[in-house]
Amino acid sequence: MDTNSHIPFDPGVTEEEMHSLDVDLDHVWLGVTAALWSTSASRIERIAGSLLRSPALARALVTTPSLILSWILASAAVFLIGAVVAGATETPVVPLLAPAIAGVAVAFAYGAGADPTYEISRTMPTSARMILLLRVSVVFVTNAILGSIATLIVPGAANVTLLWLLPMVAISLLGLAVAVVFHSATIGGGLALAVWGAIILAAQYPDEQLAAAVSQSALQTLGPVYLLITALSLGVTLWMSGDGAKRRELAGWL
Amino acid sequence: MVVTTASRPGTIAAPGERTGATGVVLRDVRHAFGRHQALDGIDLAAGTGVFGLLGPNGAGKTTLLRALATVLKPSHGSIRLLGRDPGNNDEMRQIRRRLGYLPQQFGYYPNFTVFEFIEYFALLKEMPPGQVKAAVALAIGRVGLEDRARTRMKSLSGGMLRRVGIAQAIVNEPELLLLDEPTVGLDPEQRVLFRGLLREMGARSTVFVCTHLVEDVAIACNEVAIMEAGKIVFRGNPVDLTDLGAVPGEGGGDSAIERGYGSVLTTVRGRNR
Repeated sequence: MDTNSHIPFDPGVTEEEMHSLDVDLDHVWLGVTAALWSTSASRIERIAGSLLRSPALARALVTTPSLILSWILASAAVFLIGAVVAGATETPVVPLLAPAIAGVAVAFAYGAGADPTYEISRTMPTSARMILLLRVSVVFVTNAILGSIATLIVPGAANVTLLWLLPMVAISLLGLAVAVVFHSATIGGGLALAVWGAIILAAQYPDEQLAAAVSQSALQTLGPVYLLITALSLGVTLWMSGDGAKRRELAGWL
Repeated sequence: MVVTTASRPGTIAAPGERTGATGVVLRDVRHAFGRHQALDGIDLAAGTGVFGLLGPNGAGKTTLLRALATVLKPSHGSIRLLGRDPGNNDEMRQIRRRLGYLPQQFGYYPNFTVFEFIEYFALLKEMPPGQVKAAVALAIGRVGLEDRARTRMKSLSGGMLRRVGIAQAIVNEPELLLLDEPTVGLDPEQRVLFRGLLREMGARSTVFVCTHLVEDVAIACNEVAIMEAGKIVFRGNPVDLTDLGAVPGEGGGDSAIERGYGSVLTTVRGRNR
């Protein structure tokens, strides 16, 4: 039986007219599947994309290794414990912890050993330096906010907030610079911890005050050193993270 | 077909028909890691087609691929990729937009879905935003992961992860495609499909495949080079290599091409003693 005999023929659209519509069904199908498979970007990613005018950098931001929830929760927990201890012992533990935590987090924001897709990312036209600086800035701000909240909840400690910001900037950027030069977040984070530990020990030597490193007098003495570390570390990071030939020459030499 | 190390060790005697092609041109490329000479005077020119890189562990295959991927700057020699100089920032960016790279160690973000992961690299490759989603869907289809597009990366098997890696490499329809051990973990059916994809890509792009699986080279590659101790010691087509292993028992291996591969290495190592 001819099943088509029951289907009324509609002469309204000819075969030639169908071809003239020039509908690429494969393309339409791709669009449909893409719409089905894709997920909408998170609010943070959408806001970052608008601000940065780059969906690539916005996605790079949300893939920051030291911005994943477990990392932030761990940092917040350490700050909370520090705040509790500070409240009980009247020792400003939070200002002593802040540069160390931020230093490690910043070193692990991007690079070999930290970002699982680092090798592929290095072959992308999107600037590696932009990704690095963007992630580092956000990680630093996140840690600064956590540290500030922890300091503020310790009675009478609010006035020391500013005393750890400068060391935190210097130690974080030092850790970052070392991580970039040696392609190792572990070395960068480890050195940041070691340098900050050395500063704390050295500052407490004269009067055996654990918190001497974040005192007003210590900041006046060490302030220029922190500024020098900040400037040098930033310069090294910018130079090494670019795509210039000098950076590669130095990397090869090292 | 050329088995070299005669007049100038490590230098291919003639680059073959593809001389002058704009795909990849390397001249006397050398690179050392400490005392280990990973690349030792590589001269190579390759145009459109699939180029297989064979060699034992530590021969320099991955280092060569990383140099082609603009990840590693060789300490000596010149490289031109797609007619451009990777030492120039602007030209390197142009190269990278046209590049696809699957490294040997393929890392991923475990909480991303397959679609999100490939989309991320499409964005980083600076593809026009309006084309990204369709390109990602196409790439997923080409590696046969349609039913896993919304699956999180952490739930995928090793072979599926490798296919995601291939998809991110081809999502921008690269003119230069570099694949390091792409078939590791793929089941036989997927390997057959992958060879088809390779041939398809090789029809319009320069494709380098670094592998230990000699039979993949025999079936999918137009040309093959064997590396040993940082040098290219053989260059020809798979038939040339198969011919070298035509006599059973010589060179070791079950198939003729495996015996040919073994024969080349035996010959070169004998000369170097």
